[in-house]
Amino acid sequence: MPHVDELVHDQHDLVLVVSLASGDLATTDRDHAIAQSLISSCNDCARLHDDILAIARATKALPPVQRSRDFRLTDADAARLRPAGWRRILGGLANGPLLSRQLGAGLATLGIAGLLLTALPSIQLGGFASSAGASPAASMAAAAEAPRYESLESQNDAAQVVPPPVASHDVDTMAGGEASQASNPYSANSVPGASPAAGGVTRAGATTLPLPVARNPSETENVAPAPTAAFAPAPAATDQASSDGPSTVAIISAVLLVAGLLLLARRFARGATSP
Amino acid sequence: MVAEGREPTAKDWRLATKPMLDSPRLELAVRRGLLPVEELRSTNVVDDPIQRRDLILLERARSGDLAAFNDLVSAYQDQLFALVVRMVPDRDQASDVTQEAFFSAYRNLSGFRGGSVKSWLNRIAVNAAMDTQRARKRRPVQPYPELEDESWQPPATEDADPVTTALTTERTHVLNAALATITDDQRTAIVLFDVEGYDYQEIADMTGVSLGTVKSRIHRGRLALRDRLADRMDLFRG
Repeated sequence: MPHVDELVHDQHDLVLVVSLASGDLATTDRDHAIAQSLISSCNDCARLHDDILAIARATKALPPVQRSRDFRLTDADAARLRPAGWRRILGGLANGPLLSRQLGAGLATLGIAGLLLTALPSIQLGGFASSAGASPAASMAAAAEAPRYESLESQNDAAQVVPPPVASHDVDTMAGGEASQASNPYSANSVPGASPAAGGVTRAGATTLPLPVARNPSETENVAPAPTAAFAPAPAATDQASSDGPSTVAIISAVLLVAGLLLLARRFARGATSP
Repeated sequence: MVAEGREPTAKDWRLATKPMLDSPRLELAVRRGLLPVEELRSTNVVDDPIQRRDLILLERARSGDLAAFNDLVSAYQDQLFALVVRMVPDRDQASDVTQEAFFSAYRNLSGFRGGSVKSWLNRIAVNAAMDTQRARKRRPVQPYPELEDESWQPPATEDADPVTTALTTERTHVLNAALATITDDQRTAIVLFDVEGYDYQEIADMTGVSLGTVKSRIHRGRLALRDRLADRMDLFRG
């Protein structure tokens, strides 16, 4: 039997006494013996025990509070609360517990897979493209080399390479994009991220030279000497390409993912309000 | 049902296909063949006439019958308001919460997946009350006003002692005031346990906390009540 000193009631475990009064301590429990000893040896603990019992009795006997209004729904309430449009469709889908869970998980999986598929190629190709010199950085490097091309140009036979008279890649695309695509499968229009300079050189099919995409500045140097102005718009053109926004697949994937997550969330939310 | 010599109308057909409360053609009762023991156990709840009534009303409400839903509201609005007003001891707020609970129930009729309609409604009401408590915590306001209920008087009997009546009224008043001052969590647990009669596990499921937490809240809540009622314990003793 634990030793209990009545003088130190404040140090007694009062919650233990309340537990005993609530009937939550098994008689075989060690705490039960401690609580019993507290009650038997400490008057304050005994009083607390009795008070808790009295309060519990009074709480159970509390009269019901009368409501002050009627909570029945009016026709207007019902019309307002009835789900309509996409909520109704979503609600209908979410009602079948198995169907909604599977459909939600399926849609979410498709969405994630779609997003990954749209993201992965850009990661891999991005690495390839940078090593291929098709990135804006490479274009800038080529631009830095341009003065040397100018000097070389004066020495070369001008008939071999026709530098583009128009500086803008946009104008190139508009004017000779089709011809460029037809003659050069590596043109900027067919390969996203390819150097605009390549397209510029092949503008309007002015030359029959097969122009591979610039692999690196040194290759560019040999094949496509161009005036500095031809490279100047390159970053802008790249910006335009990247500002086209996410692809259709990415958008559809995102929509699928959101729809799937909504279905799953609704399913779990319903779980909280169901008995 | 249909008068002789008259073609049955659509209404007649609806009445004929809609089972009465005590009809053996009730959807949940109609089964063919022998049932496994587990299913038999699950259908036993429908033997309760109140639950049968609730399930029928709910089924009709699901099919768009607002009157059926309002019958459910009529059956449970007193009990739900009494529960909510204990958890949110402000009559106006409790009224709003109760109304919102019925709105939520109507919106989510299709989410009911069997069991007791009363428990389902209680659970919705408890969730709505807890949402209000949380909102109140985020936006500190004045303490709850005193929960006056002038409408209630102790039942008058021939041998009703005026002193006893006054004592009961005073005790209720004091206890309500003390309940309003303890924490929301403790009050919710005490109300659900003592007033509503749920067991620990049901309260834990309803409030989303562990069994131990429910017990702890009830014990500490009672201790807090006793602290607040220390000067008035004479009302409760004897």
